[in-house]
Amino acid sequence: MATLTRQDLNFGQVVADILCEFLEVAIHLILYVREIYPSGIFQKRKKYNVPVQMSCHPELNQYIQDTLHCVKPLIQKNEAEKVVMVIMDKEHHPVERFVFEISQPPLLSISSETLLSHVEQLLRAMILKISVCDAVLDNNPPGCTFTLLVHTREAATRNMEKVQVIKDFPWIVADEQEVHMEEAKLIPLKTMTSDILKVSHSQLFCTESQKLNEIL
Amino acid sequence: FHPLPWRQRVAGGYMAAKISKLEEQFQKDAPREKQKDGTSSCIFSGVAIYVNGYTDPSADELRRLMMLHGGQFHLYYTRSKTTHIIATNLPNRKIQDLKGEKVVRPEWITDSIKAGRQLSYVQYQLYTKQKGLNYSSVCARGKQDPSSIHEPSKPSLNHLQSDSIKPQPSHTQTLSTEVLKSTHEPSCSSSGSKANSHQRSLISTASPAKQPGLHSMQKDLHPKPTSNPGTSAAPQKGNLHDQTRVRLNGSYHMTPNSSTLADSSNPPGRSPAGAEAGIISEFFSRSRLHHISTWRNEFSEYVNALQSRSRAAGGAVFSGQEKLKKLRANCSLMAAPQVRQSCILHVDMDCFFVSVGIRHRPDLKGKPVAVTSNRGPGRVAQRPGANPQLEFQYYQRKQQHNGVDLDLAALSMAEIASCSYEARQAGVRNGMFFGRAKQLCPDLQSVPYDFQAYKEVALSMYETLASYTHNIEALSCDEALVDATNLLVELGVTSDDLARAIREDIKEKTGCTASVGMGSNILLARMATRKAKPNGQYFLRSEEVDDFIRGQPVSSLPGVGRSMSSKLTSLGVSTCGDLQQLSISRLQREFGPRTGQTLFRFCRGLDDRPVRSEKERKSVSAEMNYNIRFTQVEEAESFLTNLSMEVQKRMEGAGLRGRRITLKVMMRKPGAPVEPAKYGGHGICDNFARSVLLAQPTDSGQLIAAEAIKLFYAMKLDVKDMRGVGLQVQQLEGSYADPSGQGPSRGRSIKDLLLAKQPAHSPRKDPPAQGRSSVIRTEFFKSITPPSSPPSTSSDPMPGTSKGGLHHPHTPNHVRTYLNVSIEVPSPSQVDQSVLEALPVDIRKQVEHTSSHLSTPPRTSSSPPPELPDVSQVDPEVFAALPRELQDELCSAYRNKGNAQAQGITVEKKKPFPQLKQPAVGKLKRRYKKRNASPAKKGPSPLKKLFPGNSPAKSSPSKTLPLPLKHPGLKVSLTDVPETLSKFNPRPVPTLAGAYEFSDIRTLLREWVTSISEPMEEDILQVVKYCTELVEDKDLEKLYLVIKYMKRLMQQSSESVWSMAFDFILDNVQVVVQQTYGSTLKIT
Repeated sequence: MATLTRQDLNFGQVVADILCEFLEVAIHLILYVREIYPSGIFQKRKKYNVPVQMSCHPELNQYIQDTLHCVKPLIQKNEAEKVVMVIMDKEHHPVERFVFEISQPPLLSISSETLLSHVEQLLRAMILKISVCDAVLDNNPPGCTFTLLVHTREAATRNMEKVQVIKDFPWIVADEQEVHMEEAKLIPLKTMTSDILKVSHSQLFCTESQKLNEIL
Repeated sequence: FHPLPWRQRVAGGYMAAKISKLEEQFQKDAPREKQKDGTSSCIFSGVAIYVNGYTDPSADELRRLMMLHGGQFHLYYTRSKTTHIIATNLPNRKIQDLKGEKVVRPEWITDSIKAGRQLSYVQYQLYTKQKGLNYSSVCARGKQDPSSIHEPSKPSLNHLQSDSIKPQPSHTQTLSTEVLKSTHEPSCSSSGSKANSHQRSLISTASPAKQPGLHSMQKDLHPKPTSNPGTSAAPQKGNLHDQTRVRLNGSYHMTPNSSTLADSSNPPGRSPAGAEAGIISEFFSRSRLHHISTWRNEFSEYVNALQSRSRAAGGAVFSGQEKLKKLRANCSLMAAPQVRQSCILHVDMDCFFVSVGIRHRPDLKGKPVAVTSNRGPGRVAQRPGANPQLEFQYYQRKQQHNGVDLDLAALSMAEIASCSYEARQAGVRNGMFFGRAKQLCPDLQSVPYDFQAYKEVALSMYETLASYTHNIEALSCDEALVDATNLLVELGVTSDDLARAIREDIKEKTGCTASVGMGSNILLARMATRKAKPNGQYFLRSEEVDDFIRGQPVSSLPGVGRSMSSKLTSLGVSTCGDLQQLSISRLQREFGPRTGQTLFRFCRGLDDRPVRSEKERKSVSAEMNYNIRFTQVEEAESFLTNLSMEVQKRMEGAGLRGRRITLKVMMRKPGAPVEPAKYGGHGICDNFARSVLLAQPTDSGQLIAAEAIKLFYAMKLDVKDMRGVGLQVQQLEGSYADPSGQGPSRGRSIKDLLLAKQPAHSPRKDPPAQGRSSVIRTEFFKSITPPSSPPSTSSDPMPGTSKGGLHHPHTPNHVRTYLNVSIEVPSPSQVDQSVLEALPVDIRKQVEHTSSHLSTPPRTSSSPPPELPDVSQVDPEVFAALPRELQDELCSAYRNKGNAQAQGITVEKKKPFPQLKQPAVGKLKRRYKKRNASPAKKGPSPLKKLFPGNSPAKSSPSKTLPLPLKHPGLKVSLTDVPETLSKFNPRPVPTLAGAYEFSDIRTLLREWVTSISEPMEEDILQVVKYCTELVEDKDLEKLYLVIKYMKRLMQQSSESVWSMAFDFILDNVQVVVQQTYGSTLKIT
């Protein structure tokens, strides 16, 4: 029985490409929307047919690109569970987390209805949701930084150690305090399910620290 | 096994070129080497090796050797070409990646050269998970010396087996010598374990040649050639058992059944993989215990048949009732009938199998008797390869039996299906192995199975019960529930009298005793039976319930099995009294909302399950865990295919189709003996299960097989360790194939059908609507016979007024009728002519066309008033299939027809347009969904039940609804996919009462909150369940919306209960979210 697998179709790669591209856009946009960096470093671009903001800071861009470059093989192998963008205050306490949950259907398959444009529509909806997410979130304290975390499935980390995709860009296990937020509240932002394409099912939500809510 | 998989993929063309160049080079070098060395041969022709890691001799040396001896040496591994991997050590990771590759130690090559011929690689295999190592996982490892005759060379035949598929000429030569060398029987048994037909043919030719040698050899080594089940045609009797999970006396036993499978000359049951066609159905047709387990369904049907007959005859004659009446007339002293109080009787035969078995053998009465297949002294010879001690220890640990000792190995493994009370006193239990029981109770008599008698007795018991009332729920072949509430009132007798009469009757007719437990609900009745036994009756009065139940062990509650009771024990709970101390929230946290609540109620003696004459089947399954021994993946595949066919047969038999397919696999537990103590049994196993949800319900064996095989591959199991396979289909719905409502019940309650049909003829003969509304309250989301209120008219769009619809003069039953029939067994005769007329010409034509296809001309009813439900006669899919313009046209056409003609039709018509949310619409929709436990979730669900009546459209080929991509989040594929295409399907979409789109959910929730003043627990739990599923589905966005919507709805509601309900739901959901995401939802 011939089952088309990820490898056969090289589908995983396509999925990973699409997703990483999306993540890059999303991360830039979050940085802009959440005012992590001064708005001066951002430029307006068009992606998915909607305006998005993109940073022009080379080092920042490099960091994001490198990170995603490392994430890509994981997504390709369906080993990445979540990509988390943590926003931390001056004391390095996380105040917000944007979680992109990625889950791929166990069997990828292509049907004739598979349209990239459909996926694009879904991604666009997510991007739009991100751009208005500040409406449901509280303002961040000044001087925030951000970091990117990847939650991998099973023993994927071991492989990552072995094969460093980019030299001198190793991963470290995230600090507990970066991962966990006390009394966090969860705000689901958007879920996209692309069943036809069976690309992924990603989800974005944001957890806010309760403490922050109390201050405001 | 791809050490460098990426290379091939990434560098594709280059690598291919390189590899072929290397091969050329190798070929060129070979003659030169041969010349140089002088000693050359062709013993490795056809062998291509790949050296992985450090070896001794080195890879270079091996390359040279291969050149010299006609083999191939691959510098890069190619799965298709490389036949052997040479390695002395492999990292764990690589071992796990092994999928049947032959990984061989380098000694194979050197020894083969020494021996001057190609030796079997099997003994040199590095790891045991490999092909051809069915029975020898332990022995093959670490065995260095191939020439040692006394080393078990079991794998040799497996070798033959694997080679017989990919024949390599050089191997066949070695074979004969190998076979003769083999001294250990399992090799033979493995030869018997061939399953592929072409393999078998090979064996049959091969075996005559080798058997003599084998046997003589065996005689030398093992004077008693007892256990050679593979080749000897006379296996030990009682050693071969059907092992099938059968429900006997309400509990599961692994029951033995002396099987006749082995008697046939070419025993299909023997070939363990059961790969050839027919084996499975044969297994099931021969397994008589399996039959008993199906009797329950038969008796359910029997009861149903009785009911329908009596209905048809306008009232049944209850001979038993008459008798009782007479009795009452005779004893005028009889107490006046009590206040009407519900009374359930639980009738259970006393150790059914035994008492039936000895009913004609009075000599055995009062003696310890057990029903089992074993009639000997309880001892059998031991088979090699088995390690019963280990298994016993395992079972012992698991079941915490008290001291099992002695040489258990030699004891009979035949299990006891049932034993008499005398035997029970000696400590014998049902399900115990006979050998062990014999030790406990030396004068234990065994009685053979007598299936014919069981059936006779069971039938006469049901006949007896049916002579009193038809309110019977068949539980199994020997127990039944009787709802005697009405009967008692009618007859004016006490329950004790009734029970006595029933018991006397049964005793008289069957010669066997029965016990009767009575209580105000099923739970209490069943518990009372425990006290009543043996041969007694007990009425658990409501005033004693509290004291009684407190003392009961938790394990006596239905649904509390071993695992749950051990969990409860860990919570410090052993009796129901202890359980009562736990709060409902605690229980729900521990066991989940549903089970927790059930436990909470049960331990207080509360049980609101009705006595149902037919339970809806929840699943159809076929399972086999006897004699499963695969060697090849293909065998497993074909087995799955055959099993699927069996499932198909059963589903067809029940007239059902299902959407969820679950594959259950029993795998030998790592470390467990390869050959279990019981011949062909499964031994100690780990159970694995995976399931998949289809887009469309199916009963096609092929489809099920395809899915099952896919699941099977996804599980990545080693076929050789498979010991049991089961396929289960859930989320059933009636088969569309059933042409009309006239057919037999087919999996759905006959009652429903009767109810459905009656009003069809006389729509006005209905119970008052008043009674209905209460039903709505109790089972809002999941009632089987959905209550219905005629949707309010279009001029009455307020939600508040829709409430009035509950008491609408229109006959709710009428509505139900159509809905009921329309969903599963729609018939053209149900098409309302007036509606048909109201349809635009083209649609009408289509409808008529399809109706005529069904060869039943639409019945022209004398135009009943065009009520709204009639609209439901039109298939939503037909509507959906129409082009947009036509739909619009239709709507306007209806509007023009005027309200009198088409009340509510406008409403219905507008449904595709989101802006119109008519409460009535929601209600109808819901009703539809309730009927359809799991409607196809793909597709235009809001439209789905628009016109459910007009089934014909369903047979029309393929309909597409050109629904614009308004909601990016929604699925857009609305094609009515042919079933073969529904193979690829997404994970199950969480649904609430069948609704999955947010707008539907919203309508549903609003209906719920606005139409009912007090929510039922049941419904709340449904909502919680739905929300939990959403979390599991990771659809937090929808969850968020649902919660927020409910919050708004419920907190606005004037009733404080609704706020409480919301808080309850929210708390539960937050717990789940917390567990899954580590934080709670922010609800503002």
